[in-house]
Amino acid sequence: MDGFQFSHVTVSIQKKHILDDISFELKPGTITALIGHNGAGKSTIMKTILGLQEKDEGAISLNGVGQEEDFIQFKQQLAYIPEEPFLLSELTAMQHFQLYGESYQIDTENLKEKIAMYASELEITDKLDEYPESLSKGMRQKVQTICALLPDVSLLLVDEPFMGLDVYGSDFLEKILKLKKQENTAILLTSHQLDRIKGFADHYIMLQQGKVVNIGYMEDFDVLKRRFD
Amino acid sequence: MSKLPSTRQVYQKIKKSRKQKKRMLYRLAFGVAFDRTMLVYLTFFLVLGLLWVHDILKQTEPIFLVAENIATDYFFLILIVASMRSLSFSFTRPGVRFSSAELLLSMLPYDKKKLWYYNAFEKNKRFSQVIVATAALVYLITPFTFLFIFSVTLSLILIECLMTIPQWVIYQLPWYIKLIITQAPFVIGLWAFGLSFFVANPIYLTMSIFLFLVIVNFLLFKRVFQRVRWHDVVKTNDQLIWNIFFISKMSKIEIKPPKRQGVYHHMIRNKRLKRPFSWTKPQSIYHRNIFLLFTEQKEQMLQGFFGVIFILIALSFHHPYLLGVGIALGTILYVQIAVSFFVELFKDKLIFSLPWRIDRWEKYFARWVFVGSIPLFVVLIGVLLLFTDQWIWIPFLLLSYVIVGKYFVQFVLKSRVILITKQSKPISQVFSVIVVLLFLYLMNSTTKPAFSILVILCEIIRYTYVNRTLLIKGEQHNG
Repeated sequence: MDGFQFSHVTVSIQKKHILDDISFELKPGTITALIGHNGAGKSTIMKTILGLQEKDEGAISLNGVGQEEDFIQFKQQLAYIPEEPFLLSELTAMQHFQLYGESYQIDTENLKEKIAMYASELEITDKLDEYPESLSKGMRQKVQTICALLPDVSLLLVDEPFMGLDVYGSDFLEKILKLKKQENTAILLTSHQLDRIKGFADHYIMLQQGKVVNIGYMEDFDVLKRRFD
Repeated sequence: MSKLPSTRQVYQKIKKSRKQKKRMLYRLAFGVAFDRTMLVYLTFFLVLGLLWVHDILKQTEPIFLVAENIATDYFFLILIVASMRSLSFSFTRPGVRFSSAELLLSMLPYDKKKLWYYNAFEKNKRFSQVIVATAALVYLITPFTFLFIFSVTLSLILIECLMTIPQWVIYQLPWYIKLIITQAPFVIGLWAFGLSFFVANPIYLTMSIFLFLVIVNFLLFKRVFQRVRWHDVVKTNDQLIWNIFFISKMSKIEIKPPKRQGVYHHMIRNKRLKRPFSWTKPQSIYHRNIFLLFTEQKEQMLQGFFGVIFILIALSFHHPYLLGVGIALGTILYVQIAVSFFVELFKDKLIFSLPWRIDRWEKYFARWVFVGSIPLFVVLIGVLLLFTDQWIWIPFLLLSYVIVGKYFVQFVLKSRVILITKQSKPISQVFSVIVVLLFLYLMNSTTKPAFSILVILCEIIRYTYVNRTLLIKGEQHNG
C-alpha cells in the first residue's frame, strides 16, 4: 500500500492526551502542512512517527510497512528535519553526512555529489570540518537540513523548516522541497509562516489541543487563515 | 508603593515553589508506581530487613572493630577521599546549585552574591541532613562505636563545607588546569602517608589537612565571582535539579545528565579526528560512535569492571569450584555490563532517528567488548596460575573461555537488539539452551578442565560446518 497512514493515534503524557485519536493519510508526491497554535500537537506527531514519542494507541505505516512491524525498514523510508538541530557534539558536519550516508546505504559517489551540491547551495562548504558548537544556530540548522535531504525517502518530515535559515537558505529549501515532491516524496511539514507555505503546500491539517479540527486543500487558505487568526 | 521583598525572602519563595513542584511530581510518579497498601507492606519489610541485617552484623562485631581501628589510624585517607570526590565532581558540577531561577532573580534588583551564599548554605545543609540520617542508620545496624561514626560524620560534613568554594572555582577553570588540580589529593595523600610514619598521633595529620583546606578557602574566596561561566553553571544545575530519577522513569520523560566535558572531550578534538571518515572503510563511523559512548560512560564501566575483578579474586581463594563459579559469574556480569551500553548508543536522538544497520552496529560493538575483556583475561591468567594446580589445562581453559564469551556476547546482544528494534521474534530456544549449558560448563571448568577440549572441538566443528555451508551457498549464488 503506497503512501503514509497515521490511524487513530493517541499519545498521552502523565495521563494528559497530547494527541487524541488522530488520523490522516499522505499520498506520494504531496506536501501537507500541519497547522496549529503552540502546543497543538504538531511536533508530537513528528516525534511519534519517528518513535521518539511512544503512542498509547493507533497504528502508523509507510508504504505498507508498520512502524511496529519492522521499525528499521520503516525508518529507512523517512527522514526528518527537526525544529531544533540535534547534532552530535563529537562529529563534524562532514562526519554527520557520512553517518547518514552509511545509515541510509547511499552509494559513496552519489553521497559525495549530493554533499557537494547541498553544501555549496547552502553556503557551508568551508564549515564541513567544524564541530557543531563552533557553528551558529543557522549553520547547524543547515547541516541538519542537508543530513535529511541526502537520502531518497518516501516521507520527509520537516518541523519548522524555515526557522533559523536566512532568506537564501529558505528559498533554496523551498526549491528542494518542491523538487522532492516531484520525485514522489510525501512531505509533512509544520510551520507558523503560513504565507510562505501557502505557496507550495497542497494540503493542510489543522490541529487544536491534540485533535484534528480540519483537513483541506491549501487553496482554501484564506478561510483557514481567518480561522487561524 | 509596596516595599520590595528582601533577597532572602525571594530566595525562600523560589525554594518553596520548587519543593512544591517536586512534591507534586513525586505524588504523580508514586501514584503511577505504588498504591498505599503496597507502600505499607514495603515499609514493613524494610524494617524487618534492617533488623535482620542488624542481627547478622552483630555476629561479626570483631571484624568491625578491627576495621574501625585501621580506619582510625588512617583517618586522613577518609578525608582525602572525601575531598577527591568534590574535586572529581568539579569536572561536571559547580557544586552550588545556582540555577536559571537564581540567575533570573539576579537580573532583577536582588543581590547575586547573597543568592549564591544562600545556595551554598542550602547545599551544605542538605548534605549534612543526608549524612546524619545515614550515620544514624549505620549506628543502628552496625557494631561501629558512636565515637567513630560521630567523628567520620563530622569530618565529612566539614570537608563538604570546605570543598564548596574549591569545587566552584575549579569548575570555572579550563580542563587542563582542572586535570592538574585534581592530581593534588594524590600528592597530599602521599605526603600525608609519608608523614604518618613520623607523626605519632594521627589527629595532628587530620588537623593539618583541615588547616590546609581552610587556607585554600581563604585564598579562593575572592575568586568566587570572578570569571564565572554562568551559562554552563545554570544549564548544568537546571539539569541536576530537575533530573529526578524516579520521576523520569515513571513519566518516561528523560532528562539527560550533564555531559562530562573531561579530558577525552578535548583530546578527541585534534586535527586528525576532524578529518572525514574513510570513504572506503565505513566501519570507522561505528568505531568512533562506540568509542565516544564508552568514554562518556567510563565511570560506570570502570565500576563494573572492577566489580568483576573483585568477584574473580574474592572467589578464587577458597575452592577450585568456587573459582569456577566466580569465572561464570564474572563472565556473565562483564558481558551484561558491557552490552548494556549498546542500548545507550541509540538513545541519542540523532542516532535513534536513523535507520540503523543493526548487523554492523552489533558486529563492531562485539569487537569492543572483546578488546575490553583483555585486562580481565590477564587477571584470569594470574588467578588460574595461582589457584589451580593443573597448569597444563590453562591454555585450553582460556581458549574455551573466549568461545563461551563469544556466545554470551552474541546472546545478550541479540536480546538487546530485539528490544530496541521492537522485534517480536524471540531468540531461538536452541541458542538459549546452548548458553545455559556453557554457563554450567564455566562453573565446572576449574574442577573438570577436560571439558574445555569438548567446547573447543564443538566450536571447530560448528565453525567448519557454517563456513562450508556459507561457501556452498555462495557458489550456488554465483553459479
